[in-house]
Amino acid sequence: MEHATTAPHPASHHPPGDLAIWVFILAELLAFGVFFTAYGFARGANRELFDSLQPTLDRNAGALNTLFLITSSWCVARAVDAVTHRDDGHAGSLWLLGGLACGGGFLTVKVMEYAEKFAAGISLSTNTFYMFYLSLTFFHFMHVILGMVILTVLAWQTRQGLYGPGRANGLESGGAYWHMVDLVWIILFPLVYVMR
Amino acid sequence: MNSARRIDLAWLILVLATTATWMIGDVWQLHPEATVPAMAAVLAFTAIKCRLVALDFMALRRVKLFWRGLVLGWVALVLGLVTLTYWLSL
Repeated sequence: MEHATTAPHPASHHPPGDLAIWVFILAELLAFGVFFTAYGFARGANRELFDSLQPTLDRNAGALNTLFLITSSWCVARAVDAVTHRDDGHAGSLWLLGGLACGGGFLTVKVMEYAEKFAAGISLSTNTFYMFYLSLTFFHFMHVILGMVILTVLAWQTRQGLYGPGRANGLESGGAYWHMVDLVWIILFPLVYVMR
Repeated sequence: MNSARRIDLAWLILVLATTATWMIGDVWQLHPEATVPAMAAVLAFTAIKCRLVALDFMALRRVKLFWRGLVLGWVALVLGLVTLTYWLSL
């Protein structure tokens, strides 16, 4: 049993999880890719506006949220590994709870950022920079909320022993979605908060 | 290296690269003349981070090149287009 769980897995033709979730992930990546490119071109056309307003964003909050998301993604990857390689549903559910806690940290920081901006009277119609900042980050924010709903269900199912080696399609699918949310933020953070 | 250790190592590198990007952002604000090297460094760290998430968190390291290529190709395309838009505005 131990040999079977620790030996390298053979190359697979398909990524972990359902094929449908990967089609969905690729569609989401395409949408975010268009958004990111549009941000780049809009910045090029309004460089002074973007460069003067970017310092009004809280870069520390953006970096902290990056740490929250990559740590959350790490927890989810370890959960999938615990279930699929060691058949340890208890550890898997604990890792998923860790991922949820970090996701909660992300949402808390983001809500505080939004509250500060809204209190300052900033909205989608303020200017092109804030339109992109609010719409891009809120589009991502909604994905984080959906991802946390999925992680909650997965943590419950994993605790119930629903998943194990060779029968973890749902867990792997949900995990892949969560990693996509992380992947997108990894580009969004430097693009909106750092690069000028 | 077993899969759990590989995931842990990926997380550690992601944390270090994020911290480096964070620090570069602070320096960049104070020294706008450093745009080209700062942008190159930030884009390089971002590409490394995306690759680690795709290969080690999404577990695409050992799947068919087609699937790995779709995700890593998206990363390359988006970072390439972003670089282009910034380069055009220099």
